[in-house]
Amino acid sequence: MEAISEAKTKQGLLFTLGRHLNRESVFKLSLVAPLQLLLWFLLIIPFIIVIYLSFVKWQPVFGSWTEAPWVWFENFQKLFTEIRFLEALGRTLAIVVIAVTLEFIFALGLALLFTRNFFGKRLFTSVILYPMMLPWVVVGFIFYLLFLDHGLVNSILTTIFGATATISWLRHSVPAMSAIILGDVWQWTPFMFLLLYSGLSALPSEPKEAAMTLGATPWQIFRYVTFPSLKPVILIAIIIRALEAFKIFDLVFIMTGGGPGTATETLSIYIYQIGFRFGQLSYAAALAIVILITVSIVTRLAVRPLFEKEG
Amino acid sequence: MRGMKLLRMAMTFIAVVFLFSIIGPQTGLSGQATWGATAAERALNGIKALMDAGKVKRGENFKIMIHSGQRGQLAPVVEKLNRLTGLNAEVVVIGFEPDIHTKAMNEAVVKSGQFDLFLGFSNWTGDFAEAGLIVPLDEWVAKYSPEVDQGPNAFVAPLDRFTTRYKGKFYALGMDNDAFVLFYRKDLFNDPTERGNFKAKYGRLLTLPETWKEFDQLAEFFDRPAKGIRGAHLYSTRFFTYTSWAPRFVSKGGIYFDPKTMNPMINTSGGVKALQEHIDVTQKHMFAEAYTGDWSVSYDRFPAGQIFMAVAWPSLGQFAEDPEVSKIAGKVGFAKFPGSRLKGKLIRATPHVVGWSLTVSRYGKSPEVGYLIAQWLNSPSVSTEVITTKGTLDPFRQNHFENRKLMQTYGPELGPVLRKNTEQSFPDISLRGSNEYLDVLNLNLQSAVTGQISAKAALEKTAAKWQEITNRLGRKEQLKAWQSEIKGYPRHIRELWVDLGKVSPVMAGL
Repeated sequence: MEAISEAKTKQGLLFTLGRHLNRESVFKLSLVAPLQLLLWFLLIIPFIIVIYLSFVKWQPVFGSWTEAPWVWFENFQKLFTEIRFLEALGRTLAIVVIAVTLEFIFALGLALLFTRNFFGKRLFTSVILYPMMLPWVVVGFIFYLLFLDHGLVNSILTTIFGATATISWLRHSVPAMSAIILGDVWQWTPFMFLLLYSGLSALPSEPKEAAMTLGATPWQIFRYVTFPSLKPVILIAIIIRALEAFKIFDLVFIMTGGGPGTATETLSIYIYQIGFRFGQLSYAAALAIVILITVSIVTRLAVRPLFEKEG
Repeated sequence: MRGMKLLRMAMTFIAVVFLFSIIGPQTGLSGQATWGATAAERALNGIKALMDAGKVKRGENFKIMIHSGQRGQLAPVVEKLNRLTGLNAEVVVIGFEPDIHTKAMNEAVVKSGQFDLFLGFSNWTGDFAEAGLIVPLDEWVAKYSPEVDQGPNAFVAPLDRFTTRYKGKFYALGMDNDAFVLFYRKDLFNDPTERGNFKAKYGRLLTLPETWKEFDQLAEFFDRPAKGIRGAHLYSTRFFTYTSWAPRFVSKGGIYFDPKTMNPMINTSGGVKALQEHIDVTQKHMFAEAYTGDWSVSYDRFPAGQIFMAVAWPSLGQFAEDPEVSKIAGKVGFAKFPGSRLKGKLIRATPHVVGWSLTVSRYGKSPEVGYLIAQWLNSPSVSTEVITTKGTLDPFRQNHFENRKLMQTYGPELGPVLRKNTEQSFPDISLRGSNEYLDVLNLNLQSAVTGQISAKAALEKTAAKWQEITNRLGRKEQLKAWQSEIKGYPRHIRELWVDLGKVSPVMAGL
């Protein structure tokens, strides 16, 4: 009796599977499967390995990773007691907040300016976009040279103020961080400008015209008409830039190497040091997971207003 | 008749065996007679024998990971090796030095067999060995005799130890000598007015600095910021500050770790004094790039005539003496590394910073052939050819210093000075995790030099962090490696440690 009911169940399953797997769905599956398998291979499996590594104590200098001892949450615990990590996190957040705010202010100003017609607008648009096209490494070198003791910045300050400017920009923490932030603002304001300018150009002119007819001042039009309409674009621009700025590496690596000491060490530089120079891959894996979860939560919260409006 | 013949054959065989047993070991002929008279010949014959035995095929590809600064030196000789053996060896060039460590450690994990040899920093050998990436070479060293520590072509001691061994075993063949040299402006130094002014100011004759105190005095005297010349250049950058502190520290009898417990011994009065001296001279008499630039700053500023004294790798001499790139060609002086006076003795300690060593991958096509390629490249004759070409590899064998053509590329004065400095050179920390130990030291030293923390705090923080690293990596094994490493320090420093009661004579290998 049992054998019969088992056979029936098998038949039933095959029937259900067969009903779903008609020729069309098999064809669809065969189209999607290679990419899915590739994705599994490239993303999911390494990610599982990362999760595994974060729970073991392993460095390549200990031998095979498959024989590493299980330490549960030790790597995660270490993360929250490691001053160098917490400082790097703080610095990275400071760079994100200051740089992205400055980029947003400059980009919005430029975008508003460029909505008007003026002589040489096309040329200026191209010029403004150039920094964004430069590789990070090149920007790093440019700003490194600018902020050297005998660099252009000190020369300009000397010309303006008369007395010889001898600011050691890259030797002290606050000036060095300022130089890095300026480098980031210089390179990425154009990107923000491009997004905001596109957003502004795509706004319908009717609401503005209606406001003008009703006697609104230019500030009131901006405050109550343009800005609210531009909010989704602003949000997306800020999220994209914040995520990018959070990963800042090249500029810092070239300008200061994270120094003096660890005064300009950001999260990416810290992970690079820990993972690639010291080979503490288990700890680096835990670090990566925590950052991934944090960034995902922050991003989700940031984009929430967009979806709420849609809903 | 037949019995007599057999007896005669047996007697002849016994006589031959007896002769070899007496002559062979005494003259070292047993290995050399089999494989050849020179290290290069033995390597080539070894490769041919392995080919004949079918252990490696003709045209087999062997990949050697090197840094871009060595391409010009190594690529031509590797081509020559291919012509001589029928192998297809090639160099794989990596542009950024730390990437060699990263890629090699990656190979330790994935075991792809993509690389057969690694030319990496000498102090990475511990990491490579512990990760199981490289094989010990003792067996082949005994079999093929690479002339590392014997004969007229041996390495200049103590390079024969610390560029080749880890935990007492042969793991590498050193290909370089990175003992630092003190360079100075001979024209300014010999100027009669300057000499007179110096005597008037300090009450003594102007001489080359024998001690760090004298070095700091010269840096002060020749510091002319208004004329665009600074007194000295010592590295205080993010990754190299230790190269300026360590020679002062070691020459004062300092030792990084206690060889009995592996506890850090840097946070001592000697350590703090050494750092404070370095902070003072750096802040007062150097360009700010000493902190903010990279290693290349001295290679720009010194040949441009903007620094009176610079401490750097030997290759700075080649640049500074090249009229095509230097404003001071013909005016460069080379001096022995300064030291400290202790109990009436002058103790000089030259930092050997980085250095390149060849190691053999466990996962390569044939580690024995890999070793033989390394031995051929490292042999007295081929390495002379390598180093005569300009690049980042510098003379390390005794015969290099006696080769006129090679020495001409360094100028007549640098050779003898470099040799002396090499004889008193000491290695970078070469334990497993060396990158991490040095990085922690560097970042705290740099924080102190830039005035963020005090000298004492910097060394306290470093010591605490070193304890953490040692505990994580395993104190027992680290201690074993350190006990072996200290035997690679030059004899006069080991004697000093014994004299100061820091190390027992047995542990010091005396």
